[in-house]
Amino acid sequence: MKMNQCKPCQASLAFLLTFSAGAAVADITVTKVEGALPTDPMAAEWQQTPAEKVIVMPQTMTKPSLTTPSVNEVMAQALTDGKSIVWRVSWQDAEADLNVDVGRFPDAVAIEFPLAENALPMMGGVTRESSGKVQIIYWKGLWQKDIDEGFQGVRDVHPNAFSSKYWFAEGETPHTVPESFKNPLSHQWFIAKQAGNPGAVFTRSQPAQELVAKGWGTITPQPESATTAKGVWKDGKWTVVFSRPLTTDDPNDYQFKAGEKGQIAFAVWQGKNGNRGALKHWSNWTAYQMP
Amino acid sequence: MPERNNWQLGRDMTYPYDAPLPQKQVAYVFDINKCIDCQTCSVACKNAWTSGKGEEYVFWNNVETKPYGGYPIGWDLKLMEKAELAKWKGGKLESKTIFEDRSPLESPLGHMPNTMDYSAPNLGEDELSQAVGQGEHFNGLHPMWMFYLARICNHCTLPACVAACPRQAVYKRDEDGIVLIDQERCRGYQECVKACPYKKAFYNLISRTSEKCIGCYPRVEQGEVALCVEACIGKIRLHGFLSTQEEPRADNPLDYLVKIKKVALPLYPQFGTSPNVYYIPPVHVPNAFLEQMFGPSVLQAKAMYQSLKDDKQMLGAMMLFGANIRIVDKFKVEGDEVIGWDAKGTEVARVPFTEPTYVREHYDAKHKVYRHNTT
Repeated sequence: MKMNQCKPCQASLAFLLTFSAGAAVADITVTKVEGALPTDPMAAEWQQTPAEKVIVMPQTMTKPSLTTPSVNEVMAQALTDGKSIVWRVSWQDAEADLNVDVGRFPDAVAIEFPLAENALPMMGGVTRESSGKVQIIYWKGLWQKDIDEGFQGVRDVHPNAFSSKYWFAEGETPHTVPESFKNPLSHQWFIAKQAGNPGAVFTRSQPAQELVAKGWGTITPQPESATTAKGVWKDGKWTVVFSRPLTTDDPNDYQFKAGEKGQIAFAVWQGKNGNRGALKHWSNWTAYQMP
Repeated sequence: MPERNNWQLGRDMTYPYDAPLPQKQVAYVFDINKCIDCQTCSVACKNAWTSGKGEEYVFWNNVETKPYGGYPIGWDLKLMEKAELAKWKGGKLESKTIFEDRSPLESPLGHMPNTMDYSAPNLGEDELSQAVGQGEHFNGLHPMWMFYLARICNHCTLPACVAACPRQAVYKRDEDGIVLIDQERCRGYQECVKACPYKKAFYNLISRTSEKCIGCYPRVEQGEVALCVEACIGKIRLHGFLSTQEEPRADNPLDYLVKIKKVALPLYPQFGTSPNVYYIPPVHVPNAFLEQMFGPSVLQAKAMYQSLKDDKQMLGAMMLFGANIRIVDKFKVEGDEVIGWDAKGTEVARVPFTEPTYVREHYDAKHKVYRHNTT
């Protein structure tokens, strides 16, 4: 469907713009620290860091729209040492959803920064033509699990699954990814991996991904990533930190400047409720003040 | 939203994705009456394309037994429960398709299968519509019935998977109408899994992308039929192309059987995706069941099929099923033979209407042995 022909979308967007113009947006204070930045979500420093509540709304502007929201706010904090910046986002979630299967989705969170002046908070805008580019940094519970506990295999979601034969797999059954699939010939059936899909990576170094978008349906993973991340679920709450240098030489990275008043937006996916893709909660641009 | 003509419904319909018709449309005729559920097609497909880790439950080709079978379980019943009951009047669909009566914020009407729906590919296999009573098998024809339904992706003319993908990772090829999921672009949202009425998009939990029948496109590009078609030992399948930009050609076996003779019918046309696997309905099955499954033309299709022995042209087209691995673009009945040519005009099939009979001597002088019917 051509989005520029979609009257309800335009109406929603007009509403959103009105809403954003009149909204009292939170100010996140990025606090300067001396010494090392905490990259652990549970580090003690975060207890002394100011936290700002940011409202997130269900995505109801394009299809498929989220009709049943399950979270309405996130808490946001940020620290910088003058070289790097760490964002910490937390939200209430009664259960950690880490696995994927048919109809089964993991929890996820994203932060977003404008790469163009006209970028709207909702992925930059509607169509590719009319939108401003944004950078999105996305963390997924599944990838955190891959790193913490090993790559999610078939038996993690189907403990009794058995298959005696995978072409060119080595060792004994049950064959596990990636250990049993060292022979490159065995990768012929990992089509997404062979095609270079950054989601189909068996040995992941980070649970987060840097992306750019210019309108709905345009999200594109970046080949290089300067971000490290970590998420921890504890006592009914997810806490995720994203760390990256303030500046990079990548034109698709947002460049943070000392003293600037910038804008950040948030998105949250609750796996338990089938959230993925457009089925998400998202926020307006939220101002932050760099030291 | 764009209006598209759906000839299977006898009317125009709303389709939420604006894309032109392909140059030609890959299509298949499956003669259900000949299928014996040997699953050679399923094995051929699975060995070639979906034997990877994460694809354990993926069957781009499956054969299920109707009325009780279905893979994933209840794939069709679950959609029919959600959808309006199909209503036809004079060959025209009066009820709503899965694309109609939807808000711009909604995907096509669909359902996400439960993971356990994939746990029993052969559930209901060989089961009859009702039990055979004691002694009933002595009484001639049984009223109970079943049939085998071989299924692959329908490479629909108006695909729900293409319409549902929020990031245009699913596309329909202009050159042949084959529908593919871009494995680099897919982010595993499973919207296609939910939207496909035939449940022929599957989620791969290792690759974390959705995968679907690729129509054996590397073979089709070489002019060869799909592996499931080549492997079919019962020769129930014909693979070719329907004309999309011009009138149906009487010398194109697909156009001839589907569009001209109308002996083969689409599966659940009421869903509105204009599927392109055309089934010759099983003649022994009650019409009411078949009409729910293949639309209002079942009676005519059955009658047409039953007149086959008197229709040399149609019989000729049917004899091309499984005759060669090359896709037959053009055919002609000549004397006691049917001849098929590929798109380049090369003869690829020549099938006699009556197989010649050879009588061999009881004693094989060359090998110095007697021939027995056990050797």
